[in-house]
Amino acid sequence: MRIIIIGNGAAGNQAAQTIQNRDPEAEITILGAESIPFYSACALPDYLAGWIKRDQLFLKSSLNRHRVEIRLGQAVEDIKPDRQAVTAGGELLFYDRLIIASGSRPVLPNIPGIGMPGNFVIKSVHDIDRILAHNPRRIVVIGSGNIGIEAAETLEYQGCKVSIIEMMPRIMPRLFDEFPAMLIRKILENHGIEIHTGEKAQEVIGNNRVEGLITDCREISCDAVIWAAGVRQNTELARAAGIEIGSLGGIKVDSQMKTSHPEIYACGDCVETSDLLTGKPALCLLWSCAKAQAEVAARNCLGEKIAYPGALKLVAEDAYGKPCMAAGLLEEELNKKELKIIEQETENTYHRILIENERIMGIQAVGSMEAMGPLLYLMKKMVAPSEIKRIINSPVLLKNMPWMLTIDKYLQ
Amino acid sequence: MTQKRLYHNASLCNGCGICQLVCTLEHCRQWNHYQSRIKIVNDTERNAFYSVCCSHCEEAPCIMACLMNTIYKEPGSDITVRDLYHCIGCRACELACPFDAAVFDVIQEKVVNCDLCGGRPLCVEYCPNHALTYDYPEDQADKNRNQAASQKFGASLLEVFKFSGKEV
Ligand SMILES: Cc1cc2nc3c(=O)[nH]c(=O)nc-3n(C[C@H](O)[C@H](O)[C@H](O)COP(=O)(O)OP(=O)(O)OC[C@H]3O[C@@H](n4cnc5c(N)ncnc54)[C@H](O)[C@@H]3O)c2cc1C
Ligand code: SF4
Ligand code: SF4
Repeated sequence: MRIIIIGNGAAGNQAAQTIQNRDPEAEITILGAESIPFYSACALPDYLAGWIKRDQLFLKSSLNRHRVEIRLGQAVEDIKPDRQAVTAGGELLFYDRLIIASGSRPVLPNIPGIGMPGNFVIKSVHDIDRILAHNPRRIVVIGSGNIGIEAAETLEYQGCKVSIIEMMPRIMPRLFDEFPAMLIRKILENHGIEIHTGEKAQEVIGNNRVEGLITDCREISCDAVIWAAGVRQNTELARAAGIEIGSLGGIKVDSQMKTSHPEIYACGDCVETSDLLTGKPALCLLWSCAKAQAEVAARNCLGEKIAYPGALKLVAEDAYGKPCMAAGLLEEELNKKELKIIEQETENTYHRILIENERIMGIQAVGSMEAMGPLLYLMKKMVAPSEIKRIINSPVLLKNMPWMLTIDKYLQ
Repeated sequence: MTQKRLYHNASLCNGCGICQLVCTLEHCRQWNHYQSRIKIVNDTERNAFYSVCCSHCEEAPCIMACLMNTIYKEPGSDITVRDLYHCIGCRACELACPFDAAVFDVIQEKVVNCDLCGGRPLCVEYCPNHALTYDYPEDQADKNRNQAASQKFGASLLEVFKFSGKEV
């Protein structure tokens, strides 16, 4: 079987690895637009801060290079589903199965000054190399998702003066509810990061080089702007080939990660799957989702019938040594009438568990992640809190699942 | 190939915590409890002690979750091991572990799990109460008891903790 994989990221590599493990005879070709080997984008902030060396970004791979051809610096220009072929570098390559893992890219708003040197995004190793070469001292970060926060923290650590501009009324608006977001905001502000919420960037000013940023409330002088306010799925290829695109802008796939074409699968940041908890269409821009989806796509490619259960939003963040995590849905996304919120606060920690109709729908923690792993697992498996209580109260069951003991205090 | 595993007999354990101390001494040259790869938890209500430790899951969720693809199964065995060089300490694997068995090592700022000391677990050697044993899973009467317990009390939940399907 000849399998072509578009994209040399987390999803592309996991798909190749799974296929190789299950069918060593399969001929795999990975086509990657970037001319550098497989690396983890998640470690880019650590590289920016100087916590890790450049070579630590590049990940080990146990792909058999006799069977797996990796073509770097070769972007696919065209998919021709009717001929079961793709074009790359002017060459026509035929496939039995195609896996699209083309990922996503940051979006830049169309505002004056956006083209000037000093405007950056954080997506690839080259972006970080460029930021380091620019050597900025005064920075504005636009957007306070986890990438924006990580960028701000690492640059502050490097000695820069950092401001964050967030359009919504609180930071990390899609991850945390108001109170935990406020706690994280305080931690960041205590370390000298300036945060302005409810503000919109309107113009980048400067003389051939970024010198400042104008929002609807103020002007901030700076020598670099980092745009971390949203990403878009790379779906152009698929769209041009007539593959169906979902309502949220990702490539539409079924639970087997198959697109609207029977020989074409898709996985990773570029797809639109369903949310694990609600079953509604969802985009999941996460490393672990990319890997899990790639595995499902690869196995189905080889003729197995495996279903992807759905994506769960989940992030772990470090706010100056304080571990924070958020998973699942927010208060505003849940039904107020059925909602029960369990909050627990100590001097250094805060935990918030959202329960709707006897189901754990959201977990948010600041300062400690103790017991959150098992709780998250129970949330994924939709185990009712009453069932958890039953285990804790039964000596025999508890003995087999002692980690339940630590969960208990967060469900009181 | 199935490897020997660590077993904890709660009825023999008095919570002395020696296992945790030898574990940290061996792995981080420190004499403390909180970085130990084996955790002894206290059920204060029944005055019992249980252990929490990596069970080297068959389809390990931590491997799937790792942002640096640095956790893997030791070739030729089924032990979950880590190449700490690439670990960035993001704690994604810690969150992915359903058993709370991945431990954040505050000195290295990386996440670790029980490595069975390369085949000679020190905690087993030093446990003064012989509560810890290192044995093949098949040889364990414990296993039967677990099964009996699950049938009687909570088949559904024990089922959840067995890894059949894929992880998210
Ligand atoms: C700074 C940063 C921090 C992050 N932190 C976290 C985190 O803490 N936790 C987490 O879970 N996730 C995190 N993520 C998200 C995570 O990195 C992504 O979800 C993951 O990389 C998705 O993998 P992918 O393979 O789907 O896509 P990508 O990594 O985007 O890879 C797609 C690849 O396809 C290539 N490609 C695109 N078009 C073509 C074409 N036409 N032909 C050939 N090749 C093509 C691209 O060049 C790219 O190499 C972070 C991302 C960034 C940028
Ligand atoms: S660390 Fe946790 S998830 Fe990973 S193998 Fe051990 S018990 Fe399983
Ligand atoms: S803490 Fe280390 S081992 Fe765990 S997921 Fe992050 S990089 Fe991987």
